[in-house]
Amino acid sequence: MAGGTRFRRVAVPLKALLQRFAYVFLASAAVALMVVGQVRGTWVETLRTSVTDLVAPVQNVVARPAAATAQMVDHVQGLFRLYQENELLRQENDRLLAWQAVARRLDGENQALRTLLAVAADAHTSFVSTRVIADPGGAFVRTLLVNAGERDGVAKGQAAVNHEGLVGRVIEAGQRSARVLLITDLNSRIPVVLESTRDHAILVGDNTDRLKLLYLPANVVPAPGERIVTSGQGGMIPPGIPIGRVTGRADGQPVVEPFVRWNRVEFVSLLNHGPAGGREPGGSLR
Amino acid sequence: MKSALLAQVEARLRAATPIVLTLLCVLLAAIPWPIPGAGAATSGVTVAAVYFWSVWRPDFLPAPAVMLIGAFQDCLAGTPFGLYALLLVVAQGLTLSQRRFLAGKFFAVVWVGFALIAPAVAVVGWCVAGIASGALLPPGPLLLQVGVQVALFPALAALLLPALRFGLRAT
Repeated sequence: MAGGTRFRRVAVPLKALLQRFAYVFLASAAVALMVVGQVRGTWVETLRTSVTDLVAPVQNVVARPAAATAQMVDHVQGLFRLYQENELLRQENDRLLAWQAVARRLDGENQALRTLLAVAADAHTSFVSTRVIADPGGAFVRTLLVNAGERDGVAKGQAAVNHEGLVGRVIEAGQRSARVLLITDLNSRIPVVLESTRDHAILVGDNTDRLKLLYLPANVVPAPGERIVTSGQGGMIPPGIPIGRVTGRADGQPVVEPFVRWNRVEFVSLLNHGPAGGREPGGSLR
Repeated sequence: MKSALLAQVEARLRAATPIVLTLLCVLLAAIPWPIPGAGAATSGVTVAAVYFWSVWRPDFLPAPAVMLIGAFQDCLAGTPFGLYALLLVVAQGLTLSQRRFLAGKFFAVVWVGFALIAPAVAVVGWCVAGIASGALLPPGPLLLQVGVQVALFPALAALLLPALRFGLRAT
């Protein structure tokens, strides 16, 4: 009985204190979580991948109506522009047929020269295509969640691409979901080359839809319209993936506008590049 | 006996509704909408939901639950772990500190209150996320987020109102 009174004598004021400063305690706890998460990131990553694995099936269903709406809007817009689009496609087809002839000739020439010079074969690339189930980052980070994970062969560091170009790279891989850090994120650093001059640089995101080109050689000023492609340095991202076009300068640095339209990324392919990557040889146009 | 059990289940359901709805907001905020800038705009919907419950019935959404919902959003969004946990707790703390002024007022007053609290929470987020990533974040996406948050607040409130009534009937 006396023990109970003593306990109450301590517990009651303690409870009142906790209630009074609950928000201060909780806010401090959140800050402590952030610090611990920064210092010991592995458990945060494990927790995150477990949560995303758990949520992935739900999110896959929740995201479907949005995807369906997008398709419907596209469909209706397409109906209105049918004639114009047809004409444009016919012109583009003519142009592409000409390019195809050039590409076939160059491919043949390339193969012949490679054989002649005994060039070591490039690393092969295999890929997994998957649906984007969440685009949750907001103003603080730019990431996507995709509906494929380690059990599908996804691993950290793999490049994510779509038909328009490089989207980002995998930074966390769970069993059935993975997180892709977009090239526009503040923490994204991609080794690139200028397509025509072959000058190397690093492409840096800043959470907006524009990218910055850093560490170019001092005397190089890329012309507006210059295409930027991946350099393949580092080995995880295959070389030659298109990223964007130089549009101008800001703060003394060239600004790159990416080819990918961020609100239209429904599916991405995750590339498994490297010696262990490929199951089948790729590269030939024939 | 059976009715008592049913009543208990119903009471639990009513008590859990705000938490479940706010969790649902986290999932809805993560949908890849086919509209430019939608990702940046929708991620603030949880702050608006926390504000809504804190003005009308803070007891429906206790602070530890708010923090856990924030941590869940951190896991899903890939933000520095603890960032949304902090922001949602700050949002609720700020709202409760002004609740004497806000409670029982016209909706327009509550809306203006949100238009003052949402930027304050965004500024905290901007500073903390900047420190966590060691860089100055561009203010543009955050301004867009706050603008959309405030503009869509009446719509969110209209959606949450039936849930508020459902909860009120229990008490």
